Amino acid sequence: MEPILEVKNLRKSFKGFTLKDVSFSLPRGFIMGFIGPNGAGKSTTIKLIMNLLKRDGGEIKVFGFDNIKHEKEIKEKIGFVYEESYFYGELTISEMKRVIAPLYKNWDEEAFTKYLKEFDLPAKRKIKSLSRGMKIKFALAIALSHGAELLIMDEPTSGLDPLIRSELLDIFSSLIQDENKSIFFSTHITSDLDKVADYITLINKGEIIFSTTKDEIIENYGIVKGSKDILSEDIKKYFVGIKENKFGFEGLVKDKKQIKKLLKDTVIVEKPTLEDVMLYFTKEEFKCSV
Amino acid sequence: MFSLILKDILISKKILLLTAAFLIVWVPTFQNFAAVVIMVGMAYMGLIVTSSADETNKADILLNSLPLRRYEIVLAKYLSIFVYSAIGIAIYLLVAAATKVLGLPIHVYPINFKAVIYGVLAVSFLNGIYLPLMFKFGHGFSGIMYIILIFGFFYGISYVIRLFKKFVNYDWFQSIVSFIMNQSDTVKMLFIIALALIVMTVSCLLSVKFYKNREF
Repeated sequence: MEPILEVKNLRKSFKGFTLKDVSFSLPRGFIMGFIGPNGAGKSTTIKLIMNLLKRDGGEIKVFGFDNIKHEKEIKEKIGFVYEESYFYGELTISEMKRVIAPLYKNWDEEAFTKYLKEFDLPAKRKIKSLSRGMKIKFALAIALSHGAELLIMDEPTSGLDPLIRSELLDIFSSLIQDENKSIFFSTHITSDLDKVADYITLINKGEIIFSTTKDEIIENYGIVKGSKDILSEDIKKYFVGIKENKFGFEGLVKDKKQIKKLLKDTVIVEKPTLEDVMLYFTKEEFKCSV
Repeated sequence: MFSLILKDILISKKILLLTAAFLIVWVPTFQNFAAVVIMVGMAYMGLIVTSSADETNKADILLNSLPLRRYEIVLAKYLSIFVYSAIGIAIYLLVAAATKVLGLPIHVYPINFKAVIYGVLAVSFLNGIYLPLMFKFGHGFSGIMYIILIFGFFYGISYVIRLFKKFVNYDWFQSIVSFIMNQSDTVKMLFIIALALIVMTVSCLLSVKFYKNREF
């Protein structure tokens, strides 16, 4: 089946930052977490997908169509939630809905009313008086009320308290029960993805480090802990990154079976969290020549 | 696209009503220019208020994430200017009618079709120059630049009149003037409408070109 989102060799240059040949694809019915440190290129990639920025090169296909040539048709089926609320603060929830609803051919008023109720959003309240969590929920209610098949979210959970974050993650998980829907979700809070993501794409300094399934990371990658004595130059080659202290070392490997075979009982191998993975891949002082 | 006009009206409704009330009170000062002043004033206030809201809310990001083409966003701005002007005229006519019915001892300057057409021309010229600049440089550019334009516009009119006086003795100029003067009022009005339409079309095409190249 054709991927719902496909990015190939995407390039964009700014003064002091370049997005270098970014490529990844998201199959239908899955959640992809797009992770990386601040300034890695996550928002730039999302803005390029949404045609808010002009690409210098490469290709972006959404639902199999070029994102610029078929911009309007594609955006009919995209729901978006950004880190900041860009709705007009001067308008009430129902006024903003009155403006947005006619722009979508498949607007579902019943669904919108249901989400307002479910998210506890007062229709007569001005948007500027809503809390950050409520603004995100309003954006989500809009995104879910026009039959969107792809949800694009840029740091939707950043700055939210754990309770609302968990509530939002539950909503994402329930959404994906509909196999036709997919979510592309950028965040630097990787713990959110431990719960919901199927695919992980890591970007750093404008380059894709990897794009793979979360299972592949959890099953194959490993955090290795042991004494510094065993860290020969040959052994270091198996590591993505190593953190040393006076008691020993801790490092990330891509193939935990291989390192277990090699070092046997001299080391402890644990499952990595996504935060570990991001840290070892992106932090300069931990890096090894792999 | 009409949603965007509705959005602009929802945002500026209070200011538009206040502006209309203020302008109507001052109408006796403007006498026969009442229509032009009301239309220019309403378009100015509407545009300034909505531009400020667009800028505060970084609305270009929202609008360009919705299923809208960039030319639709531009066109909606052009149309909403005339909607603001129309609201002003409608309010003035209502107040004028109420004054007549109630028999209040206030002199109401009549607004006729001709006056409205001159208003359309003034609004078209002012916004025809201003809007491409706004779409090129963003909403932050709005306030002061618009005021400079309004003063420049009225200074420009007096300059054109002075220029006319200089040319008045030339034969070619007299023949153009007499050709225009000999036309019926309808033809003169049509000429003005065509001029306003040309200004707005060229301006709108420029705005679309500029806005298509913007990044958010």
